[in-house]
Amino acid sequence: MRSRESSAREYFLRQPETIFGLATAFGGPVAILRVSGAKTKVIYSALTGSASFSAGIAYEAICDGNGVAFDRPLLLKFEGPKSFTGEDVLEIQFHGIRSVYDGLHRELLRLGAQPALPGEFLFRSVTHGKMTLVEAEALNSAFGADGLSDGASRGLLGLGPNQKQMSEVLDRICSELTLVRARIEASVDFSEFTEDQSRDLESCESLLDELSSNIGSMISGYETMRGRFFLPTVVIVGPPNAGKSTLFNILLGTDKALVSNQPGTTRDFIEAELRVADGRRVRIIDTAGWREAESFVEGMGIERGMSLALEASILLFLRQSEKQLAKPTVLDSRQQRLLEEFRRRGSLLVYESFSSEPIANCFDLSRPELFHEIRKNVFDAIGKVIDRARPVGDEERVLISSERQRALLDEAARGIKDALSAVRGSRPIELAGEDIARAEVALRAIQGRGVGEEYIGQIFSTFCLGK
Amino acid sequence: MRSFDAIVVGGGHAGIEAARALAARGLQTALLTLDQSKVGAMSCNPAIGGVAKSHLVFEIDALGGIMGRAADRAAIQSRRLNLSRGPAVRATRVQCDKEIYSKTTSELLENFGTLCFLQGEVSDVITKNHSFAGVRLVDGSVIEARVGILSSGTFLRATMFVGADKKEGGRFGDRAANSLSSSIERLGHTLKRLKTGTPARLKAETIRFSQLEQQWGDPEKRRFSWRNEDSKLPQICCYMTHTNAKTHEVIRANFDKSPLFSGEIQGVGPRYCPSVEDKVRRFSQREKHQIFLEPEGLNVRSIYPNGLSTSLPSDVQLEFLRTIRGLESVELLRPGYAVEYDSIDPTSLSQSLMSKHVEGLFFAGQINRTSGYEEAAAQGLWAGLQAGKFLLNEAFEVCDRSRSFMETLVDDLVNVGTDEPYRLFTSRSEFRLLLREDNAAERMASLGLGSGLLSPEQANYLSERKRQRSSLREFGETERVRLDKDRVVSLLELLRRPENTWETLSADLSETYSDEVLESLEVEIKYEGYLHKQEVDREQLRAIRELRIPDNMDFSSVPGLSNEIVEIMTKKGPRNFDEASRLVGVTPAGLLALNSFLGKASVSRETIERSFS
Repeated sequence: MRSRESSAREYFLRQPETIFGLATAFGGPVAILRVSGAKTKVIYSALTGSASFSAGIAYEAICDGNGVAFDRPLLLKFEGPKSFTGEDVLEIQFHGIRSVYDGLHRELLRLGAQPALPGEFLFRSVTHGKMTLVEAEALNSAFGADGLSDGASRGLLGLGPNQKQMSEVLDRICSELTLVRARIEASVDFSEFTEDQSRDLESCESLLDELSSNIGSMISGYETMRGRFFLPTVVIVGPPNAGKSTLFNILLGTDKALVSNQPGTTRDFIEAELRVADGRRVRIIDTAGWREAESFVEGMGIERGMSLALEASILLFLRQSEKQLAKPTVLDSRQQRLLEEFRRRGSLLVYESFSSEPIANCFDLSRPELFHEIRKNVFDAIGKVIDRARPVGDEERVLISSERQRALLDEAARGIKDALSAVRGSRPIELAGEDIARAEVALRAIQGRGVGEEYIGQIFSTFCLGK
Repeated sequence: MRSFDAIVVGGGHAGIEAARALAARGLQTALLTLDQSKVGAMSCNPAIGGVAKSHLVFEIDALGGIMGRAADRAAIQSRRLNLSRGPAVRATRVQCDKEIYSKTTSELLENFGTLCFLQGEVSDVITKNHSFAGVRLVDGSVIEARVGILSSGTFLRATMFVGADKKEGGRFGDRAANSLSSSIERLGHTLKRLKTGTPARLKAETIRFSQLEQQWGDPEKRRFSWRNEDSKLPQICCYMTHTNAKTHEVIRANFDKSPLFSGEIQGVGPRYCPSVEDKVRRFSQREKHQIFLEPEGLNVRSIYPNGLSTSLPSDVQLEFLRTIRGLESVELLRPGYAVEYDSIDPTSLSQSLMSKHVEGLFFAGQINRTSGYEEAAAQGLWAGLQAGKFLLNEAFEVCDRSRSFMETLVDDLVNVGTDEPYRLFTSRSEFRLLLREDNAAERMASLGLGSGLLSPEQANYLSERKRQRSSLREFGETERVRLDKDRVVSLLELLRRPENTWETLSADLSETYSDEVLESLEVEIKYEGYLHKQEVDREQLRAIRELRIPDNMDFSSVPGLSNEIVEIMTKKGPRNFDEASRLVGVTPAGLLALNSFLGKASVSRETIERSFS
């Protein structure tokens, strides 16, 4: 992971450099590598021996420094600023063979290009005005997400009907904030001469109220949306030997998890992706049983299970029927709190195992002829929770797409709230101006305006490689 | 030929403070005016102070200046403004008897043995090797001095307009200074025409005051000066009335007669003090505008109708005035008029207000594109203070926005500049919670003492005030109050609560402590959290300012600095990182590159970047 080490400012300092990076996964018949920067033309000439670089497609052999050809790729040439980074770009579609890639890598280094930092292509695209920071972030979120619906990915790719509104929305909020600030300042600085001050301040109050609720709905829209970036996770928890791994295997329809009647068989978690009702995908995770660990390793496994459970979308709690047990299941307070929290959210499914009676939520996991029914029962239950937790909404309207943007919106919302309390008289009015200014700074920062370069670099350093 | 250390040209509010600041340091100072009897004249409204402006007056007084003291002595009504709002924006406004005010300024100046009043009109600034050497008067005589302060207000090539009537002159009944303009231009300063205006003066006996709402001052008079002198004058009331649809109709029907609209006046006017015809045109939806009728003095029967500045012809002025309630049969003492005058570009001055073109030549006041008595006076004092240091070979005082509105004003003028008459607002300061009326004495103390501007009495007052403050704080911290049987808190803790004041907590404190000390400490306790935040910002600003950029720095030799930034920095010549960070086009990365080049690693990237937000 270079991203942690690389200084955020490097993105700016490296701008004169020519960078390259693999744009596709390696392994297929064709792999794509991109080169961007001032030396692109020189690199193209050196690789192909052809003197001219004009926008278009070429199909030529590429050679190493000794003139020995090592592949004949398809070469797409883009002349800046008509390219996605705004610089000269060469896209090399080469045969997906390791030795070809190694050769390319070596030659590009020799010719003075640098391997790209995470997100560096997107960074250049933003600094050259080909893309806004917000668009780049949305793209990054889309790349990293595995649970996007069609509508959501359209939204993140900027193809949704409302997508382009982001900067407009923020600019409008900013300009209204400026207006409010001007009114408040005028009421302070011209208090001798303004008669309609109370009316002015009242109008400020209602405007601030409105802006605050606008921002609030952007944040809650994002919360709903964020739930859709990733697959919902169902984590199976419960006391040992309850049959969690058996259930996991039943749901999967394969014997992925090791099963035995020994308590503590599952030491680490096992996960799999599966389709539940209506073809919706979820990630399902089997975890180590809750008990006093008998070894250090088991203890670690239980802890990992616990932290997975905390992050789960749905908790599936499985225990043996009380009747089967000599002594009842005892949960510690942390486990109780966990279950309570998920019950409160409506995201807790409780099942009992090894009951011979066909009662609801009680399965006999030992009879294969019932497996189909068990699967259906659990899948339906999961489907219901998902439907409840993720109401279908205007998915294409993705306005904010990152935690950074959300944190800044929170900051803006706080500024507006403070300003409101000043306008309402519970804080000195002259602070309202500063509160609003704070909100404006946050809103501008969302678009990457008025912030230091270090900050921008920081954002891109969290992006994945190759984009 | 006469010779002085310094010559101040113009005896308005700027010139007065400049001359005082120089004379107070024992420098031989000439105050040259067109008409000595007009020193300290209040050419427009009869009041000193107002929001933000009063902050300047307190700061001027804290530096030993004249304005606050003269206003206190001439006060015929005093009001505190914004009392229902927070502490930073509370302000003081004092109505003055204009004659007494003007007379007092002369008297206070006459106390200084090193100050000499001269009368005459300057035709030329004389320089030697790009340094100020003196002035030549229109009669050909020469006055020599090493320092010149030009504070000629609205008099440079001034033209007055009343309707189509046009007359040379900077103020009703006065001449203009015509030859000085071209001399200043020759020295390298670009001139720009600005415009200002004033309303008609009304005969008091023709106004039906009984029909109008009265506005009295506060029973307890607030004083500007630490000397706390009472004017001992009777207190008067002002009156309120409004324009109405009829007034607007008359004005609208005569738009074509206003030199403002006919294109006759080219100069830009003060946006925040527009003429009444401008108000009627720009805010056509407003049904009325508020008018204050302010007496100009106790004995002069002249009323200043605040809010009715105009350059319409006299007969139109009379016609629209008479549509206003209370003014139905009003008569004019003299009509309102507009003045158009030359101003210089203040960005051609350094932070000391000294010309970048001529060493020893300073500019202060309305000539630098400001409006208002207080703004002028503050610049006068600042220029005088710096000119004194210049003459005595001391280093210039660094202009610190976080210390005073005076310096905020100067900093705005010389660094940002302005194309219209600049008026101060509290919102111009990013540190306004720290820049209050109540702590002006503390804020300016070290500057005043260090610059030799304070009398021994004022220095004593400051140390007494300091003693009182620490004693009061100690009392507040140690004095315990029992809330109930379990809880005992300090008096200061209790004071923090919104419902409490010193008065509600401990009635007899005002016998031991002055009102100013009580007020400022109360504010500091109540708003501690907010103040702390701004203090942190201030420290950051200071740290950035400490990062000096050497004179004649070759920016092109700094690796990693873009051509654009090299160009901007070379052109503007920032002296420290604070100035550099405020230049349009300069990025944090540029500053970081400069910082590493200069090898000063003491300020973190975060600090530099934060200075941009």
